[in-house]
Amino acid sequence: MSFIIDRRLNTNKKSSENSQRFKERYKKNIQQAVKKAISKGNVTDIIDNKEGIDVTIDKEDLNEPTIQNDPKTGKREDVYTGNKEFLRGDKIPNPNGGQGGQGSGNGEGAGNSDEVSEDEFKFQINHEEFLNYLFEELALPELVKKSLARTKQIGIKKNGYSRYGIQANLDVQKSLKESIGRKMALKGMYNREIEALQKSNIPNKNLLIEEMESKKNKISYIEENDLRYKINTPIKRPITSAVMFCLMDVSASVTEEQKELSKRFYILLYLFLKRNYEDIDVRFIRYTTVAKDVDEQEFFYSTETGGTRTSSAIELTNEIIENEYPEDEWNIYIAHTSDGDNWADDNKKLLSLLENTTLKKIQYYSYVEVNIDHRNSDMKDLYDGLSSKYEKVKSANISKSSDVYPALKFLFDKNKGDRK
Amino acid sequence: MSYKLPQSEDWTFDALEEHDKVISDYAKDWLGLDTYENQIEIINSSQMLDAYSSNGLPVFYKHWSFGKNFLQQQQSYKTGQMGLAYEIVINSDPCIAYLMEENTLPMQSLVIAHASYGHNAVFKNNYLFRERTRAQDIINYLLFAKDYIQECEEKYGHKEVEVFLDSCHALMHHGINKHIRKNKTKRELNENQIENEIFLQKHANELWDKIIPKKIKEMEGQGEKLKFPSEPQENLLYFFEKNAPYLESWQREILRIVRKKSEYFYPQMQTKTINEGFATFTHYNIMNKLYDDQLVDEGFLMEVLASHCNVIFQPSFDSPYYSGINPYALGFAIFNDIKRICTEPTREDEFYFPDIVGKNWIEVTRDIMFNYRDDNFIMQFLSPKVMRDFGLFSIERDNNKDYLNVSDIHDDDGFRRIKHALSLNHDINLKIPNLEVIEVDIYGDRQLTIKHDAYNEVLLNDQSVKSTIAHIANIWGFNIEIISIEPVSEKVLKSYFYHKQKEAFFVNSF
Repeated sequence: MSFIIDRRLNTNKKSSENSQRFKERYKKNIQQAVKKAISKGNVTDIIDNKEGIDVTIDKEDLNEPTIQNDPKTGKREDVYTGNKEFLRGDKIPNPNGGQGGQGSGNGEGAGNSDEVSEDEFKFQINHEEFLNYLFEELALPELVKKSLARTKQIGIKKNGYSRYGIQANLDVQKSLKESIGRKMALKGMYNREIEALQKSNIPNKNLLIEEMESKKNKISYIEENDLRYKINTPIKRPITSAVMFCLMDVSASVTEEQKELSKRFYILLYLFLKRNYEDIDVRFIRYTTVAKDVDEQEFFYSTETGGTRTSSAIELTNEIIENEYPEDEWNIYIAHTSDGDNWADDNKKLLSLLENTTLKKIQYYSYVEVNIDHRNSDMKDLYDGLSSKYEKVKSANISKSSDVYPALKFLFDKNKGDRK
Repeated sequence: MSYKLPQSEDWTFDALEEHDKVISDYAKDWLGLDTYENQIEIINSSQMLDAYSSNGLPVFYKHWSFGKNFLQQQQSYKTGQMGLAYEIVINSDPCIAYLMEENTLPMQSLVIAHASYGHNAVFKNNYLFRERTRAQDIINYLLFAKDYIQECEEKYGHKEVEVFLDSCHALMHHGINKHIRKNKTKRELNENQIENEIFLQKHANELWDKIIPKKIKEMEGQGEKLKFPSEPQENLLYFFEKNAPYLESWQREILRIVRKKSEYFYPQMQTKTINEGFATFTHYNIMNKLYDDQLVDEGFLMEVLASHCNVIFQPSFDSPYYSGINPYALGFAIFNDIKRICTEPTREDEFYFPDIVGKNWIEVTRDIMFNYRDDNFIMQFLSPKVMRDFGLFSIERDNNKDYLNVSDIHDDDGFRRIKHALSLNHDINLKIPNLEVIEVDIYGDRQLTIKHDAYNEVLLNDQSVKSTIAHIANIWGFNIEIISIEPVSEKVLKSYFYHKQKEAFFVNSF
């Protein structure tokens, strides 16, 4: 009598659209909360724990205005439950706030819930959304070169059906559907004939009817003509090939604190790249007086240390580019963190290497100086000089953990504001 | 061996069907309830939250405020605060009810009795619902509304439409004709939507270009001034839809959609207590009968009763959980007591309810559900016993004084006055400020004047006026004035003015 319907599979996502609109409207608040969370918390924790964060919005801003009565005015009489000691005529001091729940005319809908009456509206965004907001405004600049050489087969795309094919591609359901259709059509045809015969006055109609019946029974269950095979076409598309070189100074002059800040920067950078770019190579280079091409594990967790020769890192980078990343096929990026301390003579060599080789091959070079005491090192001056000369070089400072995200944002801002 | 209904924790579709069959038979044959056909939909909890936040309607236009509701409810639900998250039912034909997949079988059975038969019966039979809503058409209308608004967003801009919708929502509680016009025309239900749009736009244009100027001239000839509107208009949304000078036709249509939405929900606002009370009463009777007829055993009944008790729990005024009078508690208590008065009356009952003492409780309660709304339901049928059970007392608050007066308590003397006060507390006309358009300055700058009836000198909340008046100006297009008038003495207590161009807001107390 009643219809019982299972709607659970129907993920309409209707309210996620409403939620989306709400989040659009209050984007600024959400972005603020995201920034706060990143600067306060331990970056690795937030990322590892896959937690969401809380966002608060002032009730003022959330107002859905309607005209309401002012409960502090006029005369009113309200009924309450649970009288214990009051007698008629008792007087109670009038608290100005007004007590008890009187309706504000907000009782619509079949299922009513009371509004949270606080000054702030708090809600949560989950981990995915958090990361989205975190990296929303970021993008790799000058991403232009596309390459067919490194194409990946994206996969098999369904491309209709055919009457011919191999066993493996047989679509059983579709074939059976075809056979049902055929059987229905044929049966229908015979039935109509039989009906017509029955109504008619043809002398040997019974014999004919018997014939029809037997033909009907011989309709085959399935035929070659019914079979349908899936057509699958592999598709390829050129992908935008990109590689990011992460250069980290791990010499003795870099304190643990500075190394930590550096790592945070790279963790965020790495996460950003992996999320937003499907197919990007990331190369990790640790350097002291000597540079080493390492994997992710070693990059973040190894404890070697030594003196500082920045040019070694650039030399190694150049070498890798020569051997593995032809510049006409690859978009090459370099991110470089250091405390600014370099071997005295090395800066000259560094500068000439950069200007004569490296900068010519790459799209973008971002230098981050991790410097607790805010003084500009020679290396910083070097890079500042380069950045005023070349569009593709940008430098930033990090002195405390709350600087990490803003630095990342500055270096990789989608909207490319003004350059310093 | 007697037949038993399936009773394990985990429900199956077959089990639901079996329960529904028995419940349906009880509802129809035992309780004599006439209901719409039922469409019971199984959903998961986030879909339930979704439905909850957009007023339980399966199809609704997209608006950011629903997103806010959803997130908020998601929060409450996660922190375990939502008592009745398992009940949503829609006034439509067929009557759609949602069951959460996480419910156990006893709970599903309870919800079916409560929503698909209890609420369903109210939707189909209560006079207010019959007068104001056409259950067969609501889903189609909503589908139309959703698509229409989406089209508008694509044509005129997402932000534009959102801003206008915000303005309409601000007036949502003032889009009702309190007195029903019988014989609604087909046009009311969007049969000829395009024609309707054109008609409205034409009417509005003509009104300002031709009709009013013409009338003014005529009346000048007779030495009189034209008053527009000729009578006070309480349905603000309708007034704007027809008469606002500068609206595009799509904006008029949106006004209309919001108006239809509030009209649809209005009876539900007027009957919260009687509706929930009757549904609770229904599920209570049916579940107990399942047990009495030995179709379910104690375990099943205990679980159902435990939930039932949660639903009808009423905290005392001094409890930290107090948030007003629980409509489920009050409604159920009244119906249950009517049953007692019918079956086991005392002398007191014979005195107060001579007409129903000894009658058939099934017929009496059903009849009441048909013909009353919250305020007169309480007025007529609140019994002294229920009053005592709840410990009701009334507090008189005169904001000119610095003390509150306990005006009545739950004794014999207080009964009539408490009944009266409680009934007024449930009168929707007193909860929503009474506003009417009384004048447009057609000779001058087209300023619109709205009158507010300040019953008992209850004034408007200034902040709420401030945030809404700009919306009204947004729709009307000119300056807005709101005056609060004490209805008996006709003394002006307060006035508000909003200058549209300057975006300036003024308040004057007298």
